[in-house]
Amino acid sequence: MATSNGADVCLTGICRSYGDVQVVRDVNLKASGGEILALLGPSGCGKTTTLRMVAGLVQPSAGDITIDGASVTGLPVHRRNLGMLFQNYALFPHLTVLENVAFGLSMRGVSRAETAERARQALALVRLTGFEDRMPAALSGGQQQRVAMARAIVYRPRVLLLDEPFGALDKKLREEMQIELRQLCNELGLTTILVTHDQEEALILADQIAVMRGGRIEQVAAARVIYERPVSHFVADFIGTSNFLPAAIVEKMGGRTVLKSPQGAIFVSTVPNDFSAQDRVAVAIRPESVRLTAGSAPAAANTLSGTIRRSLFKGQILSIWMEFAAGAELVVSVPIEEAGARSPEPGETWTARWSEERTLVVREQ
Amino acid sequence: MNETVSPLLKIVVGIILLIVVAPLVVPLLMSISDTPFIVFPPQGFTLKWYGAVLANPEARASFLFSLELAAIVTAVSLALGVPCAAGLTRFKLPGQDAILGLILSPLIVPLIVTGVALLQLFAMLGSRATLLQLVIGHTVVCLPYVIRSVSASLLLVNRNLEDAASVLGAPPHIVATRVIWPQVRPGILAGGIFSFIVSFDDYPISMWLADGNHFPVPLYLYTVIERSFDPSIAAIASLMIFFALLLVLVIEKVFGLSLARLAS
Repeated sequence: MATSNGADVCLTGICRSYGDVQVVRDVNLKASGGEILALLGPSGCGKTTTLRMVAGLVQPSAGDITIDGASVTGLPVHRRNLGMLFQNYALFPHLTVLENVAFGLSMRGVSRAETAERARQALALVRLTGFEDRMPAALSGGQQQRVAMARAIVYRPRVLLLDEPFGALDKKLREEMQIELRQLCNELGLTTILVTHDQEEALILADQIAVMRGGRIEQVAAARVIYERPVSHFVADFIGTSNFLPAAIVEKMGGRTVLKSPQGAIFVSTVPNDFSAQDRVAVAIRPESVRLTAGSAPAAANTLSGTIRRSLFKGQILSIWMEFAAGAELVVSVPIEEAGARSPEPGETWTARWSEERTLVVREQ
Repeated sequence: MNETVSPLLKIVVGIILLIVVAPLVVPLLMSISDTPFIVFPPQGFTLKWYGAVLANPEARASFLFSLELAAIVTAVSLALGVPCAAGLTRFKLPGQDAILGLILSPLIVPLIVTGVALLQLFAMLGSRATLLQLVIGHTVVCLPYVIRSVSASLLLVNRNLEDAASVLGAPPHIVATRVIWPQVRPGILAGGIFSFIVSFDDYPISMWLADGNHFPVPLYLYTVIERSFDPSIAAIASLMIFFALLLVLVIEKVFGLSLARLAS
């Protein structure tokens, strides 16, 4: 199969309402050739509706969708030449595996002989050679997933759409399939749009992640950037876990932002942000960014002392809750290997520190 | 599906089958009795009563008329029932439950009452079109069977499959024939066969609406019993049983597998 046949997909000002309810509001997105874009968000955030609009299964109330520069907004579903994986695979139960995979080719008027040949190749690609004559009901979940995958890519679609494709698989199989899918998409150079509510899945699979909330795009960026530089409380909270400390910007100079909490603690961040002193912001600290030392310490930037309240063993890490002001707790993750002989015990006083590069400034709602 | 069946279940199923099937064996046995009147157990063996029935022009005419009537009724029931079931399952309509209740009500009202009501209605209208009256009367009774089985299969249709087919490049008419049709076919076929058998076996409606030229088999059977009591009655009954059995075998042979596959 050809490499890099991925198209550019562009959504401009896309809206969708059902009656008075606006499900998708002014979504602007771009997936460049061969890229994997994840639409990530909680259920009801409009991500699936957005994907279905790209597929043509739902019509936008406003806005335009283009594929390789040409508008497809008015084009019926069956003429868009896309591939799609559905939540429950949606294999045709009355057709064999081979007939399922061949369906898209026969719709394109490909000759019988070539259809059979290409369907076999696609099945070989997903490692299902020998399953041609089985019925879908006789396959395991992972195998059905692979058949659906072969069926979606066999006719070389311009774009691949994935709607929560791994939701029905158990954790271990899901991870295997995610890695397999990522390889396959890269090999075929397919532009892929993935809908998921699983942040881990988005981080594993996607080049770009668009975090959605209430029908809007909250942030679009590379997976790594989303994790390291979330712009809002919502994104920081949805991807990974974070501590949020209320603070106001005191000054910005050079690449540094200086913030002050209501209790007077000073935070310094060197992570770039677009906020000014008027914006409502908070400081977000990942539990894994914090280092703990025993005893209290004199006041300094990005330093909090407090009393250990609880600690919880979670396998690879130890989660520790430290109360640094009345009713305010900081959650810290300590890798088991680093905890050593002297690990924090409830009631003791410890000091938490984190670096300026790990101090995130996010928009508060 | 293939778990071992407990012996108790086997025994219960065996008893139920015996109760249901054993009475059907009785006319079969009586029909081969080489005696001038019905006896049980049968004495001797002969197929002459079948020959007599098949050679009898009245019996043949009744049988052919019943076939014709059942075929027309089935066609009309399907033509009305399939769109009706599709409408009731695919759209949210005001008064949907009331409509469904109305359509299914002939299953609740005694058939003999429905029959006499129809007779009065047709008499009021001054209608003399017996075939049309019979078709209407039988359709009223057969329609619920069609709507029930077609609705059931439409409710089981996976809408995702339609989306999948469209995305794969299938225009709407191909989605209908290659994706929706295979899923609803067993339901439509089952509804059609039910409708055929119900019409073919009907006595209480036909009793009020038939005339000498339109005389279905069940009515003929009844008049023969009144006239004489020879084993040809048992032969007619046996032929009706064979015919119904044949229909059921056809469904099982052609569609039994696909039904099992869809259910799994």
